[in-house]
Amino acid sequence: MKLLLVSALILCSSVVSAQGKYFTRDGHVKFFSATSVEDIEARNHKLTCVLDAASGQFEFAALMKSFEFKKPLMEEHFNENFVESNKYPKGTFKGSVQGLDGIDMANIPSGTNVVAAGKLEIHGVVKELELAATIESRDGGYAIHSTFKIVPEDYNIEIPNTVRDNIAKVVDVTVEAQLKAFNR
Amino acid sequence: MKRTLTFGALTAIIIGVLVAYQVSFKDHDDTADIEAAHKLNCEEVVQEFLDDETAATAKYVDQILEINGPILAIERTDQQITSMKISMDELYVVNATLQNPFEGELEENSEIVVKGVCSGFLGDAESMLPGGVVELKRGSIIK
Repeated sequence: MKLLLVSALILCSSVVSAQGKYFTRDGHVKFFSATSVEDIEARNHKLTCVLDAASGQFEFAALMKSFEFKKPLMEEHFNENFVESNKYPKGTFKGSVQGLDGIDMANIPSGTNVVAAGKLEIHGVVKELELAATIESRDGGYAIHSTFKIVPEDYNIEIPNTVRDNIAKVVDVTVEAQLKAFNR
Repeated sequence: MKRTLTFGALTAIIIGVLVAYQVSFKDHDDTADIEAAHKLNCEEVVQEFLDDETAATAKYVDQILEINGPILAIERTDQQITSMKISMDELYVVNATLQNPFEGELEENSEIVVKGVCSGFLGDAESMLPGGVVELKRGSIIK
């Protein structure tokens, strides 16, 4: 009887913990632009990312100035001329993860494919987007991985003629986050 | 006279090319060598952004800040420390990435002083979380 009670409690606690919010303040986001002239890569290791496991609501946000480039001149051009970081300091995605119905949230197997549908805002422009992603249970939380493409022109990011050949028309973006339970 | 002009023009072109090359391929300045504009406790700086984000942004963003406080969490890449969170509360933190990976040992909850370029503040307006993060890049451990 005692054993049954303990088992029931463990089961309940795992169900409850899988229903709450999960978050990170240090997710990784990288973008990569490849042209015949040069490859440009920037990384930001301070992505804030939140998933509500019960509703599927999903958000991430990053400061534009936290993207780090190899060369300072690239970083300066990115912030001052392209994304105008002083005017539009943040990039955000707000939406929901679809395809979670029927998934045991307490034990999502590796490589489970989902789609995050929502609004991506960059440079003050909001676009509806569906991001293909994988999700899996890991270390009491969730590991999320997504790669997608963005077209700078769609976000009114103007590339000056002098460097037009240096910047790809389509930029690859990779998002990785290990979310842990939000216990408050 | 013509020879002097040609020589002058050539010299100007060479200097121009060298300056352009220097600017284009210059590395980031080493944060450790630059004097901090502000020295603060981690709680103070987060609170300033929470109280008035616009004023704190004007005051701190793009400036080198020297922040002291307890290490909340450490992130390692290839067994080297590449970033850390400084705070006593995981919802209100200073998050610093290091300019150069740190090979020594650091312990969570121990006091640290880090200098870095402030890139801004991510608060609860952007997410479903309370609190917020002051972000530093190209950080350098002072002690």
